[in-house]
Amino acid sequence: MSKLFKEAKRLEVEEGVQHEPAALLYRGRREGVGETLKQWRVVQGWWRRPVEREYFQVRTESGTVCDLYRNLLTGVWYLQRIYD
Amino acid sequence: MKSYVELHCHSNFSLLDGASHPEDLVSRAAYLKMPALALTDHNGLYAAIRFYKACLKAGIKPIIGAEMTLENENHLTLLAKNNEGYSNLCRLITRAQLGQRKGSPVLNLETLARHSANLICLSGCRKGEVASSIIFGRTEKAYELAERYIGIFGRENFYIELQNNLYPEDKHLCHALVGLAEGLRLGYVATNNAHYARKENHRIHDVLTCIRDRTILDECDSLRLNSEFHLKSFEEMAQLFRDYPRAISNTLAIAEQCDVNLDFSGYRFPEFLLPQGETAREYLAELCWQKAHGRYEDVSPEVESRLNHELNLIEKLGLSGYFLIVWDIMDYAERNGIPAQGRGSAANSIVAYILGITRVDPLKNKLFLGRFLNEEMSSVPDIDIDVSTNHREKLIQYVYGKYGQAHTAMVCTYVTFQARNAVREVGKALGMPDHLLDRMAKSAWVYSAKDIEQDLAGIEEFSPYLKSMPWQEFTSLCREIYDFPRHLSIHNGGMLVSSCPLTEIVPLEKATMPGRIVCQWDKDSVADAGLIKVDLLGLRMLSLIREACELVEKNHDTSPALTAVSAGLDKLPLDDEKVYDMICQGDTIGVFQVESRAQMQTLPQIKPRSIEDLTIEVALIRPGPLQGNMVHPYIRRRKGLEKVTYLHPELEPILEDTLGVLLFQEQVIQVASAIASFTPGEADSLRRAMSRKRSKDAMNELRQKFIDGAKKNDMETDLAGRIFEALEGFAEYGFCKSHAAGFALLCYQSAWLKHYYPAEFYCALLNNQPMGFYLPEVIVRDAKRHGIEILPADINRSAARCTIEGGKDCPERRVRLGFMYIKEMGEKAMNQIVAERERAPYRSLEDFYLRTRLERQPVGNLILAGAFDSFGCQKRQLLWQLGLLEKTCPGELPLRFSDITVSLPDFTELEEMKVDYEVQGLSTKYHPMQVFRKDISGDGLLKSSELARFPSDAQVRIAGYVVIRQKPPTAKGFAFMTLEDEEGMINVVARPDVYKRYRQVFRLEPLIVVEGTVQKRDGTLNIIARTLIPLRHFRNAPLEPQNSHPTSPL
Repeated sequence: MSKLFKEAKRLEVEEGVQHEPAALLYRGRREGVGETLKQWRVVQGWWRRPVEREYFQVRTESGTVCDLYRNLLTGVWYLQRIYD
Repeated sequence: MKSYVELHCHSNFSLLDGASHPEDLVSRAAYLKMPALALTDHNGLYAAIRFYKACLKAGIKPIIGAEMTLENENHLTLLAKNNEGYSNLCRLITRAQLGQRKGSPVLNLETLARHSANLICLSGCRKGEVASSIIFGRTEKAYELAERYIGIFGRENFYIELQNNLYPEDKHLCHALVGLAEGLRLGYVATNNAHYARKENHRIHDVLTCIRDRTILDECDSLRLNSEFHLKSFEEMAQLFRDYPRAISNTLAIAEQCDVNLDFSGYRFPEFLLPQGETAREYLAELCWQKAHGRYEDVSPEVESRLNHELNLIEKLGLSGYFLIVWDIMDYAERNGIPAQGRGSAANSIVAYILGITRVDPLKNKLFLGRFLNEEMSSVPDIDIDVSTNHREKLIQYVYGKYGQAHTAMVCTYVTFQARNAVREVGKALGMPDHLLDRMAKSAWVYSAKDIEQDLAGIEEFSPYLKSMPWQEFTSLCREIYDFPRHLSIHNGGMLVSSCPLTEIVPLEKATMPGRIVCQWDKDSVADAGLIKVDLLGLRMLSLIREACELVEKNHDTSPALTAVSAGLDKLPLDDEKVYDMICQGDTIGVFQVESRAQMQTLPQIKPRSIEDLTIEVALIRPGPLQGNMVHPYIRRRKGLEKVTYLHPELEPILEDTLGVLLFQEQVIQVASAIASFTPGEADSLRRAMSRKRSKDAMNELRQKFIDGAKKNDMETDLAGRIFEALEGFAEYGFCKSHAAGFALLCYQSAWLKHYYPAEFYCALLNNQPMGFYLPEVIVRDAKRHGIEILPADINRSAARCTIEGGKDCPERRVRLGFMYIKEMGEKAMNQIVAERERAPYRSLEDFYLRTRLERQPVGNLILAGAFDSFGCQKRQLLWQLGLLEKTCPGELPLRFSDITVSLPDFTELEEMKVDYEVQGLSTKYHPMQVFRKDISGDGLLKSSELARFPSDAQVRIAGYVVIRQKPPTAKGFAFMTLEDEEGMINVVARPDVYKRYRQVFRLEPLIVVEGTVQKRDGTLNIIARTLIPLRHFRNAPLEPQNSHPTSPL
């Protein structure tokens, strides 16, 4: 089971040298990223409303698995999904 | 070594799935410092030669491969290690292409196993069998499949392909695939499945995907997730495959193993079967000496010397066999009554003339051999043959039969995206409104999609759109898609014949025509691969001349010219004053090569009075010479308004026939030889270097060489420089004299037929459409102006094709329209009508219907076209009757109830003309202006026949139906239009400002009122337009043109 946010939540993320997430601040807590499970990129909708996102599925040091993405056009991070 | 080679790469020849030209991929790979690059288009080697050439030029190694589709729709990447592997790849693609219906090639494993030698196999993208098994969780199956490929290719030639295009499953998939490779002791290799050169090209790839899927971007569900399918650098790939460095280094190891040479000049043409004990040279010489007496009454020393010289040259170039092959084809044509003649530079050759390949005597016409053959030439000279379109298939079948299916195929051609289809298809993918795209496409004058923005921006109704972001995106995509191949088509006549089976050289596939096979290369690739093609080009004028001659023989008992006609006009004297009089008046609709508006306007000025003059006329009035400013100097000199001068006396013998004006390509070669002592080969290289794609460096080098050569002949540098500039200014527009001479002959023959046998000429002209500049409706009216009545189709008189009525006993001959002009009339239906009529004439519509039982649509069209008018019933009444007849079953007697007969009004003139256009694209009865003139509210509209009485500079107002619209790129913004009314033609010129103001009227309106000034000059009359107004604005009941039938004037 997972919780998908209908509207992705803005997120503070500490980035590594390749803009990969190193840690995230969620509900006031800092969670270090333990492992990147998946990484993918979405570039679509260029003809109408461009979407360019770099997605990461990470397991935090506390064991939470979540999908987050960085908007490649603005550099802002969002939380998209949390897995139970 | 920090290098990466892309081994899986699609060009835009992966039709609608690749978004970069092969050359762009190569140039990007060179920029990214790839030492090699593979091309792996889907099931094809369409771009192999272009890619190979571009790689060699860029200094990187070309690897030739293909991504094959297997029977289960999975993909597999194959790369050729060497030429044997390349041949196997060709065989595999051919089997995949020919084994299935056109456009759905699939390869079976048995074939793959049979032709796997010297191929390297990569396991494929995520659509590959191994990868997709893993994606679907069938790991064991993946192992089994990999073992199967090891069995086919050997462990050392089968690699597991890893891709990371930043898709969610890629990381896990790569991990599992590496595990599998290691488990089976297999190599693994990274590829990026490139579909375009640069990241930004992903947009055009998305658009192509929509075009392929016939959908729009908003609704397309097969777009790729992202834009990662571009050529990537070593650094980018090393980062993506940082956990598997061997995947990168293996790309180099594979590239090392691949080495293919695509020069096939050793296989260029098959051995000609010679009489025992004879060599090709001996046999060719024997034939020539035998046949020389057929061509020349007196084989003079001049003939002997030229023939000997050519035969030696042909042997020296190793072309004796090639000449025999072409002779054999032409000999077959002659023996079987197939009208054919060599075209182009081949007519410079006396061997070609004597063998009957060409029809123009090179000695009499002073044709220069060096343009066709010279000692230094590195490529095989093309001998192209024009053949009657109606007979072409028979000749093609002969070549297939002679050399065998395995050695023969038609050359393909690629239909590419140009302005109009780019506007329609790109716009559609972006979801732009259809009606707007339609108007834009119709309004576009430019051919190239690159120039579409500039072209459309000049039109007021489009400019607001084009400033907005989505339309900016649209025009940018149109530019990008320019010249992309859209689909494959069959070349007009190119046949590839080789000494080894073609499937070892180039893949073959099905053409749209049933049973026809094409090779995957176009004419340029064929030439660049060192092969030759024999061009058998369909020429409808040859069909026309043949048919008209046959009709003359059939319809005329005694005629002084009948002997000439029987000989297919070959022996026709070429000095008939009356024929030249007709040509000089510009009365040339339907006459070969001199019927265009520009030709008609210059004929009264140039006044050709001989076949030599016609040769010049054919070559002169073309866009090239017009652009090269050669036309007006020639006309002025011809009219005696300007003195004929030469830059140097040595030029006089070369240029005297063209009054000192450089016109023919042969003259460039002769000038370079005479002034700078260039050898024929050097001079021909100069001619080639001056082509459109000229290189500045090459030209500077040649210029110096020319000046140095001239200096040695005691010519001053300054004068030599001026002569070189004259050559330079001209050469790219020049025309081959021998080609013009061949066409001039057909021009004369067609003019002779038009003058002496107009009924037969027009009948044959109507039977061989489409041809030339004019639509059949214009030809029908031209015939009427020449006293030849064109009758509508008649159910008891017409045949499938148009026929002559009158025959030997009746001097007044008329042309009866054939059923072929009526829409929906298939061959079967036409034959059925005629066959049934031969039993007994049709007595009524009912009789016709019950005997033929044709479908409603063709019968309805026959009624509308007037084919039943002779029964004396109105068309509406007949349509009503047809409706009742349809309700009767076969074998059942038709029911007649007097109380259901109705009285229906007959068609008005307008309605009748409208249906004429709808069902046959022309009206034999009405001219649109004749019908509309009664309906026009404006006063003072003149008819074409009234114009002649007005002096130059008179202001006039005239209306007409547009038959030609032209805006040649060479005309400095001027546009030209030919209008026609019920009495004749009207030439209209629109100056650039007028054209700009009325562009949409000029471009789109079928009937136009022109206000302007009369200009009379040299027997021609033009209206210099001031305003152009749609005629519908003057009509009492205007109709919108966009709602009408495309060929209808309504």
